[in-house]
Amino acid sequence: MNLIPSSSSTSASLALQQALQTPLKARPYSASIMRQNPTAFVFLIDQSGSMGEPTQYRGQTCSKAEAVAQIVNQTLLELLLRSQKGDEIRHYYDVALIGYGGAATANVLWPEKWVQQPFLSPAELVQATTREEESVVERKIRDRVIRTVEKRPIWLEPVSSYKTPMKSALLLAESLLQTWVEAQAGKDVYPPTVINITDGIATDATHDELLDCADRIRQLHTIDGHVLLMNIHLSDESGKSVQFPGHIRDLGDDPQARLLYDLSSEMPASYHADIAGLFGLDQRPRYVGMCSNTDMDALVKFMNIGTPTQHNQAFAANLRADG
Amino acid sequence: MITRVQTIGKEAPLYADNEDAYYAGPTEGHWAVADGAGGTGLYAGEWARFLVARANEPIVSLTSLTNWLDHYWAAFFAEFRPQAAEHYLTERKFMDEGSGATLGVLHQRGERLHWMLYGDAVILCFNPLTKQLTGARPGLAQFETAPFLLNWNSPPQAEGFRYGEWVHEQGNAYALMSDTLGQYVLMAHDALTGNRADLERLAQLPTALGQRAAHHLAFWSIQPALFYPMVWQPLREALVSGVAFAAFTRKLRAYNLLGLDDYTAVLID
Repeated sequence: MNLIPSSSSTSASLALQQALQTPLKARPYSASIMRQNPTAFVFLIDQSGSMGEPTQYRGQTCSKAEAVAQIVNQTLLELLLRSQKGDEIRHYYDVALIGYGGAATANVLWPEKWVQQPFLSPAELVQATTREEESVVERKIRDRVIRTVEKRPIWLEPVSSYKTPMKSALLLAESLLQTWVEAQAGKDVYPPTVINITDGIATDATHDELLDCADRIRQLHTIDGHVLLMNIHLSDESGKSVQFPGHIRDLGDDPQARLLYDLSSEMPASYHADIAGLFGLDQRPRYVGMCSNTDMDALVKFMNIGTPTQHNQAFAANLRADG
Repeated sequence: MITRVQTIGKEAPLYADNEDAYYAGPTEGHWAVADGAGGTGLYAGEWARFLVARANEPIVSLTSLTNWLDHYWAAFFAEFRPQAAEHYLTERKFMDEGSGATLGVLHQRGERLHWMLYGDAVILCFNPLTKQLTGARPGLAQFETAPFLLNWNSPPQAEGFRYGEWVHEQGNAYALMSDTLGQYVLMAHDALTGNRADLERLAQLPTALGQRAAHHLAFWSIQPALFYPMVWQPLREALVSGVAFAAFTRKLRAYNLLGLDDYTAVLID
């Protein structure tokens, strides 16, 4: 199965067209995330040569690729932990991990056994690690100190090579999401979230081509809402950092930041309080799901907004089944 | 007084899981409802069942709640830690997050009813003669944020704790409910009695809770006398069997008046 679409104009199937003709409900982004109706996450990871440049993360110098790998692995682990109920891992999400760099086209990054299956359930995710790291952890629980050997699963290895085929990654995400949305036709399912992490400028497309790709992704929807496309631009430069802007004028003249703004979704109102609280922002009528010229700490917070964690009351409430 | 009880999981009949728990001991004068918080830690349903069975005496202060939890937590930890340790993911989640549940308990001692709440469980006193409904924590604001949870891994917090007493009067009925069913009763009551400020504020929220508040405002007209025949009595009748309770909650769901959750009600009258 060839996962990569051959052109930018992917033709939607009749079933997909029917799914997209279904109107959105009055109060979107409120569907419960449950076994009968899981949501989806697609992570797009820039693996271009510039990701080998050094950055600071948790007080240490490492490459951007290493820092991103740590953060994405932690995010995937968090998704797994949210799916763990008792001794069972429930199917609350479908997760896809796409890398773009090196070769001319983007790739699904799961190990060979899983590479033909772009979306993994949490139970499959447990088996799709490349390796596990171990460390001894001491916890203080009430008056006791308890020592355990803790395993840290690894799915994403740090890679930095050559070009930045971002358009290819967006096309692949679009293709995967078309199939996913088509399968959810008529169901009240929380829509997919796409998180694109990059430090550079696409080498395989013009701005207009990227905008077309992003627009098509954002137009995909379930009854509960449109696909959320969030973009984060990493940098260690000391330029102006912008997080979840309310208006394009907040971005100044930086063309890369303005492009990411145009690629990104406006965040649903239910996310606003958490965004403002976590990033220390003022209350605004709208927040666009992008961060520009930002560091790894902001990436961690960004991931906390984009996925259901304890830092995101609204999203996590959907997972608690009663919002 | 007669105790009526039903409980049902949110995914019934497809899945049997139910993280709510209750205890009904009319001869001991002890009733309890706990809502295991599936979004926090592991073994939430087991923890809820553990808690309700051990709240034998009135818990009248935060100190007595803290002491009670101090006394029992280690037994639960010892029982479930080996099970959690069978896989690194379960061990990590159990050790990092513990197990969480809200708890509502009611004890009858003579003519006094001692109630204790931790989190957003609902305990109500209703007098069908005067039509007066009194909530241990009456407002709807409690449902806006994630609830305080009793967790074996940490002491309870003052903000989550609430205690009080009612003096029993002839004809009084009492109900303990897990949060979402209790929320339905409180929303319906506020809408029917014209106490609509909270509902109107909640209805502005871009959330499922806001949507539900809007549905209650639209569904009920202001007619306080209808609370008993339209809300309290149907709930009471639904507790006759699991089938009736499932049909009752399904119907409320179909009218968008009830959120999706596990549901438990203990009614004493």
